[in-house]
Amino acid sequence: MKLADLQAKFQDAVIGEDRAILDSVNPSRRLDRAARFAVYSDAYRLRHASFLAEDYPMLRNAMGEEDFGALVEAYIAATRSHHPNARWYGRHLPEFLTRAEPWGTKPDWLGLALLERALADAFDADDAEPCDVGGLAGLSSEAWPALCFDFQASISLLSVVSGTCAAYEAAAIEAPPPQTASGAETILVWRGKDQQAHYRKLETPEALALTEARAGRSFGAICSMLAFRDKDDAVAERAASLLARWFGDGLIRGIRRDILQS
Amino acid sequence: MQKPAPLGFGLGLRPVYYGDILDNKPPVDWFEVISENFMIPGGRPLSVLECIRADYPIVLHGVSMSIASTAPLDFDYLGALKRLAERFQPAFVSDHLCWTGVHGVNLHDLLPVPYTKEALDHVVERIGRVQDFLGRRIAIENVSSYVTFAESEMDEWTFVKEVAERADCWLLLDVNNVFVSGFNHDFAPTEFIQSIDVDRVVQFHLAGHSDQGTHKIDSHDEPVSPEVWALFAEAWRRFGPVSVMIERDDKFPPFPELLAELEQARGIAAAVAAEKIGAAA
Ligand SMILES: [Fe+2]
Repeated sequence: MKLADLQAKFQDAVIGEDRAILDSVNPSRRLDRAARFAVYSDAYRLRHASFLAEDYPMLRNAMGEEDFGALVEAYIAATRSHHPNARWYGRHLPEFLTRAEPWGTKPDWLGLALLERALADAFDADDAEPCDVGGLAGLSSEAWPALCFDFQASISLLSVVSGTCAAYEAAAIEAPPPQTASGAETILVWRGKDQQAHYRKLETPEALALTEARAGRSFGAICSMLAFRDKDDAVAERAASLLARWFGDGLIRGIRRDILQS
Repeated sequence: MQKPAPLGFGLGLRPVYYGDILDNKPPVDWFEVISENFMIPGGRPLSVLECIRADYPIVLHGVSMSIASTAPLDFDYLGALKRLAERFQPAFVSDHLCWTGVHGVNLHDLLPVPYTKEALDHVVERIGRVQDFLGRRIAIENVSSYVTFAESEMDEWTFVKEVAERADCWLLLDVNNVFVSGFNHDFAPTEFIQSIDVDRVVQFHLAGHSDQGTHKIDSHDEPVSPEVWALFAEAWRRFGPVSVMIERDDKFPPFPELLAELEQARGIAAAVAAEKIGAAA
């Protein structure tokens, strides 16, 4: 048999049920062909299951061994790795959860899966030196409305079912999951200056402001948006304190002036 | 053909030990780094590697080159490997004599090769292209295997020896893999070791395996076994001194236990060297 055919058959047998490769496998003194080959096919499943267990430890705690095991088995049956680094094998698990019965009906599991994937992505996202809040110090008050901000690549803003952060924290200590409320919550995930991935739940004004800021809107535009929403006089102060926190968390990597406004 | 100078006695750089290494600068001569783990955009792993590289030599050891695959060479992967090598300046770059998948799939395993003339020509041609692309000789490692193929036309050691000679590459001799495959396929590990050209071997791997009764598995989750230490002594007698390292990838012990295991390797190497001096006197 040609090498290409042998490899195709070998791979088919590792992944699936086709055992045509066994014609090419020698038995050993102690094992028959099928038992020898099973070392590879068994290891394939175990190895890919461990990639998923490593990436989604809290989802596993929340689901329990039986449900998580069934999910993992279904995912492995449906998903091949195409990347030299197995780190990306489990990236499609959240979408898989939404598509596959019976898990699609469990928004709290989806929330956990999205949060864990975002944490993994934040951990090794692209590097950029965070910008220091000192960069704002010398600016006159007239300059502020035109300021725009560039954000770190590690950031994601997740819109998930309400109670996801609480469910994550319960799963971390293997406590029973809290009752999930209806509605949504926004979670910010990022890599901090300590190089670890962090998350926090955002109140609605911060979630809106951060969404706008990441879309390139100026500080002035964000203030207007908040003022319109909240009919609040102290909007500039509140927006400034949000901004200070973003600097403190290391979310911002650059400051620009919006040419249209300046 | 000048072999790279031996680096001494090393360990695998694994995330569980980052703290031990950064805090204590342990007496390890060098670290072996899994290349793919650092083919990421950024973050702590890369900055840890920068720090460790400042204090230790490293070797980049890959698991996804898939040199024996009939799939086309992955030049995106090789480009990433080349950039990593430019950034971290490893003493050398290695991967395995195996394939990891075809048709765009990576099975993340070191899959066995039939020892045929066709496979030999194929591997030799690909190593040549990889070495041209990377601009350096690479080291190729013998793997543990759990099947042999009816198609094979030669012994594993003949295949390995021919690959090294014809492709003009280095060899990374995994002593544990020789032992594991020897058990699984009923050959004498000694015959393997004695067949390989001394001039080609630049590095050894040592590792633990698991014993399933009917077969052994290259699990890297145990200390090095007494049989593998004995084979290491024999290999050192033939090839030493070369760079040596211990691979540990599961059931991680406290770091000092790995240091003690590394001391054992140093002790055996010293005893073999003394024996050679004694014989010469
Ligand atoms: Fe090895």
